[in-house]
Amino acid sequence: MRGWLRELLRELTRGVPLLTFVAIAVTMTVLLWSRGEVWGGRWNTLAWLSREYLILLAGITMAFAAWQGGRASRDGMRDLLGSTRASALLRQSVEVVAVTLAAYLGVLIGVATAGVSIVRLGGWGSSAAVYQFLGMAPALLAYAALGYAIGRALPGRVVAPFAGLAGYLLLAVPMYVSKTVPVLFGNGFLGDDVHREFSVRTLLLSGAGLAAAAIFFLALAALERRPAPSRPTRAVSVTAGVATVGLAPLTLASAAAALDNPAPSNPPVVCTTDDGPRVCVHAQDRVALDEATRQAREVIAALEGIHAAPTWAGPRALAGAETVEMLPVEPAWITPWGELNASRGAPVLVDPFALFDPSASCTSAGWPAPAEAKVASFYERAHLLTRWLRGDEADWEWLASPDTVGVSELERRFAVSTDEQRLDFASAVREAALTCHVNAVVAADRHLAPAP
Amino acid sequence: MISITELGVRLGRTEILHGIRLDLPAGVHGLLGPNGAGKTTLIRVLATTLRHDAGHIEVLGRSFDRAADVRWVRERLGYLPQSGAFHRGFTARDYVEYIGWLRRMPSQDIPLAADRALSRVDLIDRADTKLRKLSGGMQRRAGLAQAIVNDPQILLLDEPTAGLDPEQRVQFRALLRELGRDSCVVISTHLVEDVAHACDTVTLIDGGRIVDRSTPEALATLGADTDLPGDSPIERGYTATLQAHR
Repeated sequence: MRGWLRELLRELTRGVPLLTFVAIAVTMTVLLWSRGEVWGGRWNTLAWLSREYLILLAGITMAFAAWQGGRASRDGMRDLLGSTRASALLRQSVEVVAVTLAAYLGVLIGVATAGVSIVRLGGWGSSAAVYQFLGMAPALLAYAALGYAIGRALPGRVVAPFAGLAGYLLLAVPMYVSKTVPVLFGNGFLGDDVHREFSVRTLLLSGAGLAAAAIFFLALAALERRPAPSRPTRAVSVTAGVATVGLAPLTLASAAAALDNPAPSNPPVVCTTDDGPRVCVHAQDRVALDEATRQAREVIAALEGIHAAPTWAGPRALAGAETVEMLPVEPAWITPWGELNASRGAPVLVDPFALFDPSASCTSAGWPAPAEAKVASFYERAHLLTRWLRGDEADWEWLASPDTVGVSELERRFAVSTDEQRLDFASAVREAALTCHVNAVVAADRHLAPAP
Repeated sequence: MISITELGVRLGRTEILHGIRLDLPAGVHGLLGPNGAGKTTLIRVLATTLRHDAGHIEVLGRSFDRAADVRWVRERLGYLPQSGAFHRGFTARDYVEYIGWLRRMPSQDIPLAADRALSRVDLIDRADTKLRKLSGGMQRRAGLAQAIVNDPQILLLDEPTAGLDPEQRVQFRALLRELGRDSCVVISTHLVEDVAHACDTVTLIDGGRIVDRSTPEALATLGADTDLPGDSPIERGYTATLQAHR
């Protein structure tokens, strides 16, 4: 083991693994920081985003692993290596693990640079974030082993990395189009829902499956035509292949079951303490509290007189809410440096549309299936209301123009309606949201009479 | 130490070696022959990197027919292939230590053994230089160092002096004689001087068959009285033997 570790260290500091580390670290850092406002202050979002980027990182890892896999042939070493006592499996495991470690360290460098920002902001995260980061390691190992095997088969200096990339693309296509394949391939998406508490069981099963796949590919690459028939290698290859296939349905079943996991616990919040309507934001967004309060109170004032209008604004699912839940802050407006991001114009922190979000017990899954079209219609109407609340008068004029092509009749009617009619509409939509009853949306139409 | 009977090797439909019978005790043994004679193939079979199709091989009393015995032999083997075989990103020390590890030497012994091997080929002062930055001769010496790092009982060298300058060749031959005291050293070469100055026995191979087995002295005697082409008696003896066979 000591010798193996020494060789691992040697590989890590020579050639391909070193390049892999640099390539992955740079890619990961650039990718994460280019979307800094998405994860700013949030470990969980950072973890989810990192895991999503595995789709790109795996391709890079496979290309470099393929390059590494072709090294023995390119350097004319196969004959010499074949004359040694060590098994090809042992010898090649060092190289594959070195590439994997280098790639994973590159990932961690990107995560660490972002993590410094999160810690500085006093950010919040749950254990789900740790599991997401951990889950990347076996996935990278499997991709590295597959890339290495491809490189062994096609060792050319130029051919190997491109063959590795091509092999990866063959896997990436089903990963993009399927909901279940990505779980097996390691990027850990559980269906469409990434906001559930992470399933440790799925992580372990998926990790074991990917590790078995890695051993399978490694053993395939290690099958050599030299005088000592490597029966152990063949046995390892068959066993790992069977384990990979056997673990796949278990992993999928576990991932499917994990969709029922509860959402991660709520992050801490900070709230206003004055006499006005109470406004709360997540603790890591505290820098936005003043601006969010101003915007939220404007919306609340605009809604005055509407049935069940909110008297406070705060994060979704905040315990002890007095009237209605809403999402007050758009995270994209907070930079990783803890400032309001004004690079794309004045920050709109409060989303009035969220006022009309169905309550937690009334998710889209709860809607009757035949009414899906009406649900969409409900959201369209709510969106129109949102735009009105923001006072986008120019937009209304454009909508009202008879020359405008493709504007729905509803929008036309809405554009020329009176303020009073719109308030009635808002009230009806609000009621629809609270009752989770799409038929109420139809009733909302009645408030929008044709222009007088 | 090495016993070969009726060895046959085919590559596709081509018969590369046929009916080879050879017994090699401790000492330095030269395999001499023209290009394409089958010297490298024989070395590769002995190095356990190429399967043989017929015959029987026993090395250090172990048969090549059993996988466990082949692995046992590999631990006691040193091998320098014909072409420059090394990882370009490695230093000379990396290279020698790496092969030491692959020969399953005890981990704690490897650094010391690598330094000793590099010293023996006079490369210790360049041990931490990347191999790609060394001259061709130095790369060859690094190759020799990896071949002897485990103090092999069987040392197989394919064209070991290619790329060495005259002074290095002299040193190398001295090293071979030293190694040959306890080990069986087999050198494949087409340079007759190497055989003349370093080998105890010489085996001439031509067309995949052994055409003569003798000593460098006997070969030189044979060439002493001929006017065949060659710069030295042993070269003329070599030419005479090949022509007599053909």
